[in-house]
Amino acid sequence: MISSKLKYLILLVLLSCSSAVWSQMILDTLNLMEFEVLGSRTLHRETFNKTKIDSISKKEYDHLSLDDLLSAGAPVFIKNYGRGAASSISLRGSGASHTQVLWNGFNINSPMMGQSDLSQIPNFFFDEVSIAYGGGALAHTPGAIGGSVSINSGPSDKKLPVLQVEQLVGSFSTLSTHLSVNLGNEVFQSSSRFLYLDSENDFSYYNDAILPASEMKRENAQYGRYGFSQQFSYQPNNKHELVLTSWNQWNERNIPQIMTNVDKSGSHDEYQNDFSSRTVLSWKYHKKNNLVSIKSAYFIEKQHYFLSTADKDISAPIPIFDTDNTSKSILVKSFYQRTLPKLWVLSAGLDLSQYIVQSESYAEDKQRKQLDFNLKVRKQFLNRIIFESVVRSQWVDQRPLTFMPYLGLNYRVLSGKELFLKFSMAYNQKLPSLNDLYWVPSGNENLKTEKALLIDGGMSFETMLGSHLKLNLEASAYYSDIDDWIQWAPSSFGFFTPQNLQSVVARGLEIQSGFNTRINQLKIEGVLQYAYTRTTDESAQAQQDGYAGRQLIYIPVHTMNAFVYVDYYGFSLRWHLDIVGKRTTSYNDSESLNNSLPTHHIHKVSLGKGIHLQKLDLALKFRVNNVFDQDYQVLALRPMPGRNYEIILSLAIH
Amino acid sequence: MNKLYTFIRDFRSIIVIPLVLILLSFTACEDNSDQIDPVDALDEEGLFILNEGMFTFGNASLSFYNPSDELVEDQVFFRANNTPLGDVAQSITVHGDYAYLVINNSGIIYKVERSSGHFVEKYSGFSSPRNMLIVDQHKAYVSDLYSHHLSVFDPNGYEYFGRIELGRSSEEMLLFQNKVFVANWSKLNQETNNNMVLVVDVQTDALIDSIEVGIEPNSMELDSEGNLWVLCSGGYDNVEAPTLWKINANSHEPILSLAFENENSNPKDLAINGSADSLYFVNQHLFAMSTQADKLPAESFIPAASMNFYALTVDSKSGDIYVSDALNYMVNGRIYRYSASGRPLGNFQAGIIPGSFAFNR
Repeated sequence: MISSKLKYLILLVLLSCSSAVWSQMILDTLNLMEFEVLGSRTLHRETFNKTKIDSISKKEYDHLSLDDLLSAGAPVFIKNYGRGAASSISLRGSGASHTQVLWNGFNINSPMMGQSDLSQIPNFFFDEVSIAYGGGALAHTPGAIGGSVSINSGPSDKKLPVLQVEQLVGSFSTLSTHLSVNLGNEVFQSSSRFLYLDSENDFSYYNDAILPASEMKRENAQYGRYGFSQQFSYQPNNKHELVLTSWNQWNERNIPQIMTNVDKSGSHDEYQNDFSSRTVLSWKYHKKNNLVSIKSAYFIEKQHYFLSTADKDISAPIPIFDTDNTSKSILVKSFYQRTLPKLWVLSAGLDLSQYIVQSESYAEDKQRKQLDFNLKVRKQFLNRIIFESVVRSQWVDQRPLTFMPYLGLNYRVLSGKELFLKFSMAYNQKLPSLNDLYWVPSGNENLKTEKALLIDGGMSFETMLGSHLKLNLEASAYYSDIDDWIQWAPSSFGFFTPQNLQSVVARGLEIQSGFNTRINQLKIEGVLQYAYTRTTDESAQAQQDGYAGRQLIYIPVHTMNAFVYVDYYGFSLRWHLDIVGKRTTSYNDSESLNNSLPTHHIHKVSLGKGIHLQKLDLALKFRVNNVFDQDYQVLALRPMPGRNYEIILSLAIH
Repeated sequence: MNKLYTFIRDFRSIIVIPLVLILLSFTACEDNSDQIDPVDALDEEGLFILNEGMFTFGNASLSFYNPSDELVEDQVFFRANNTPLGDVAQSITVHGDYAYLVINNSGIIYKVERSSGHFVEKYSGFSSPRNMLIVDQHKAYVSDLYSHHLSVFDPNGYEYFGRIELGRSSEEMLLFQNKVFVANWSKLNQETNNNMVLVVDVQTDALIDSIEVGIEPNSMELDSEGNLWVLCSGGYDNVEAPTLWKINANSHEPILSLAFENENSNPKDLAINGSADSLYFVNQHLFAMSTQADKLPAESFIPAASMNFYALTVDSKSGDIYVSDALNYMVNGRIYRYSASGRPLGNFQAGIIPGSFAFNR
């Protein structure tokens, strides 16, 4: 029997080859007329590995949230608690709190949790998303041991439709409505977006985690959200830019039981309602070789969590939790960059942050004040070598942390060729979250910061085959050594408590490849991404208890995604494949019984047609998710829906 | 349509691409089916170990140890029924031909054959069931973390009789003559202090008395002289020093109250030997004391060293002591077996967080 690793290798090679082979066939048989770049996967002049999600995927997933987009567009693993439920990201074998999510440059991870629930970030409210892996994230923010995800919604240089309406109707009584209004001229622009989403989410699944096993409907899994974003931008000339952006959103989500617990009590009721409002005012000044940017932001997040239960024959439910949490963030970012002769670029940044948390789960209100200073130097030598250095220092509640340095190199191997080698090293630190420190009863005020040594090397290559076909390939290998990893583990009192438990070593490989071409009215784009991730706990405790060297819980060794997009005279076809490898659910040996989730491979197909009528665009799309109706779970005992359908009708007026 | 036809004719190779994706995805398939070994017949004198598993991970399990040949059967429930046991297995009660497995966060009780682990019946409708006590051949009580009552039902056919109002949450239960002592361990969902042992009359199924003890009474035993021993942890948030109480089980009058020196310690899992004259408990290390003692033991009976002692039981026949090491609570724990004199007799692997024991007799 071929080992699973070998199968993945074969799959990878075959898919990489298939992209080139099919493209070559097209080249051989068609009269090529023109070329258009449909999407750029890689930012090859960086000194670190970075993925920019292509515009086709972004558009395809506009009605979904950031977790779906990242899962489809990057070689990462998304821990998804179910359709419409909370989800988080694992970058390079790290934990959810090791990835910092930045919106227009500001960290939007919850100050309480230290992480973002990606399922509550609708793709509709931003235009671009990119991932900086490992040490490279220090260029954006401290504490991103796994990496950072940047989402941006800025003034557009494209002519946007004045009015655009999209309506999605999907399985499980799902409705999603988008409305956007774009007004203005070259000096002043206003962009408004409104969103409404509601889903009963009552899909059927086979529950074999409780006896007797039977077909069941998912109960208490309804979710919905509504919100709006507003952006005003003022550009009186090419030196000044003033932008005000506000993103406001209300989320309502019921929380279903896991599959083993569906018989719990007579009338289980569990839900979470959230409100978030994030506003950023930014001013940018650009003159000759100088760039100045000052941004200020105010975020407020409110969360209400409720859990009640009831015995049979008791009408009044017993409230177990009924808690409110509010966090406020006041943030200022200042940045200056100067380009010097001989291709030197120097920049400095100073960030001030204050987080205030009022929580019924804390003994008292808590706050944290941070000051972050960073200095960057970038130097290019003869168009062949780029050297980049970043030094960050962070003061938290007046206690200084040690410096966090980054060093990166990018080397063009052959003059005039788009073949680059990259190498970087960084030392990063991450603070405990406020929940880690102050949660009652189990917060731990004695927690230390997590520390990581991050080493990364790789290559990127981009070339034209003929004059019409563009191919790219990027590969990175990394090694991360993370000390004092904070883990919430059960304690002798039965509840989970955070401790600096682990010394984790993560190492792995990321491969991203793609092609795109345009031949007459035929546009084709294909992407294949793969990640190999080995993350193990090498602490003394792990050595003593015998689980050192075992893959950490819920981190798959193999993840892969691929898609092919074809557009021909307004007809479009997108075929997407996600593969998530086997992952363990405890620290036991992966071969132990009932201790792992199997590999799943999920296909999604969408077929669309767009029509242009002078100032009117009409588009209709039909999408099938989980084409082969696979029974799967991303996290154990959280069922995912089988084959399901969506229709999207779009109307745009220019 | 002509355009679509032209597209298909000229670019049919592109149609093949999705097909390649499909085929290759199946190439990547692993053999995901677990090979499940059937469970051997479970010995009459063996020990069931119920492993809690991790909260919300649904990885509780049932292990079985045969002291005569020292063989261990793990994942007994999963192997017998091809279904996970559930989320947080709290306690096990053996009665007649059956074992009752209380799965706390799943809100159910599984009744299984104790000779094979095969599923017989499921009881549901509880909020947060903790312990099950067989009162007589036709009546059982179930305590609950959230509800303020005991559920009463017939364990032979699951006829639900109703509930006994306590006004408090309930945990461990102990049958003595015609009454049941019920520990009020948790203060979750109650305004009053969690420092009572409640007394229920089994003939009337009614609360008849309550005895004030320390905060968080977590375990109880009856000694050979008719005394009730109650171990109180003092609260997870260290409200007061932990205490051990000796109470006259007939009059309900406290005889002795012993406070632990270290307020931050967490003594738990009181157990007693077959002759009911020696007590054992875990307080980081394993401690032993005579029921005649009037002070707490100064020295441990079995030092934990690097082990994370979690739960214990004493074989009423052999006097052997079984104590579990939960390790980091996320990996399979181990059970250490000692003679009554404290001599090591071996150790074996159980499941994740071994927390409850019952002898198969």
